[in-house]
Amino acid sequence: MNEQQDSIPAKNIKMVVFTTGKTRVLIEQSYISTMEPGNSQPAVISIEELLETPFTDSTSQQLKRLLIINTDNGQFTLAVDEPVELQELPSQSIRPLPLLIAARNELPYLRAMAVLEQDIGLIIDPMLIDSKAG
Amino acid sequence: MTNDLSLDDILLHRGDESAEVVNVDGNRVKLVIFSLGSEWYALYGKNITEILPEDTLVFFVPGCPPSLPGVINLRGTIESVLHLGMVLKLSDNIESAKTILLAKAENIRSGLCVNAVIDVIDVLESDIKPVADSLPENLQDYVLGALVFSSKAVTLLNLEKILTDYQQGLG
Repeated sequence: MNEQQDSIPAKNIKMVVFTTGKTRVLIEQSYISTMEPGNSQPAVISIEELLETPFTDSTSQQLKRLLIINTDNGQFTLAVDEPVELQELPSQSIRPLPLLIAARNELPYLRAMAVLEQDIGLIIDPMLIDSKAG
Repeated sequence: MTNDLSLDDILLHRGDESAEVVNVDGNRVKLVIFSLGSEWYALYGKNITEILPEDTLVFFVPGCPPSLPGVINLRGTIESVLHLGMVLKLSDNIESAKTILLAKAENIRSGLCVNAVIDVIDVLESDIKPVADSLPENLQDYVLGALVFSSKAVTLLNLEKILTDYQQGLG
């Protein structure tokens, strides 16, 4: 831990965590009003579309979950793969984007990263998704 | 037999020789030499803080250019990883670059993927020669000099310029 990290109040933040491909993705729980089973319902936007990664094989029986997300700009629905977990992360595990990632990444809603035991998670800011989701 | 040299003359001459050796030894720099494809390159040792093991896990980050394959978790700190061969537009067998050098310059930190670390050496600054005019266009802005190590040409790269230019859109 460096001095900057130590100066952050030792509080926890609730995050909804799921996986797409091999990538762990996190969204702050306060933006999510409900989570519904979602295979039968059309999604406004899928996480694969959002992250510009290959879509899940349409023939697979991967269970989906719909996250109803509320922001100041309105509500939208995000389809993600099961399992979806609610985790309480210490604030010290949240990191800003490395300088070169911040400079060159083309996803405007990629806001930060989280250190998750043996993994690194990408933190998506729903406030910045909204315009794309329409 | 006449003796044209006095003992004082001889010792004075020897003293000059040792003084010369001390002067030459004074200007040494540390270099980290590594391979990218079949070519050897170097960075100043002051720019390299760590050489990471080959099995260091790189986490993919969507939305990044191919030259920025992802990030690593370095004891709880997240660092970007840059594919140096792609940044410099090298085409010779750079896909197998799996060794990561942790580099720092101009307040930018990043891992750099290279094929293999050859050696870490101390050299005289005077051994680093100006580069030839025939340098490929993609390298011209990013080379500080060249030297010979183990009978092979080594190109010394300008990490500060590589990282600052990359931040602004290079590669």
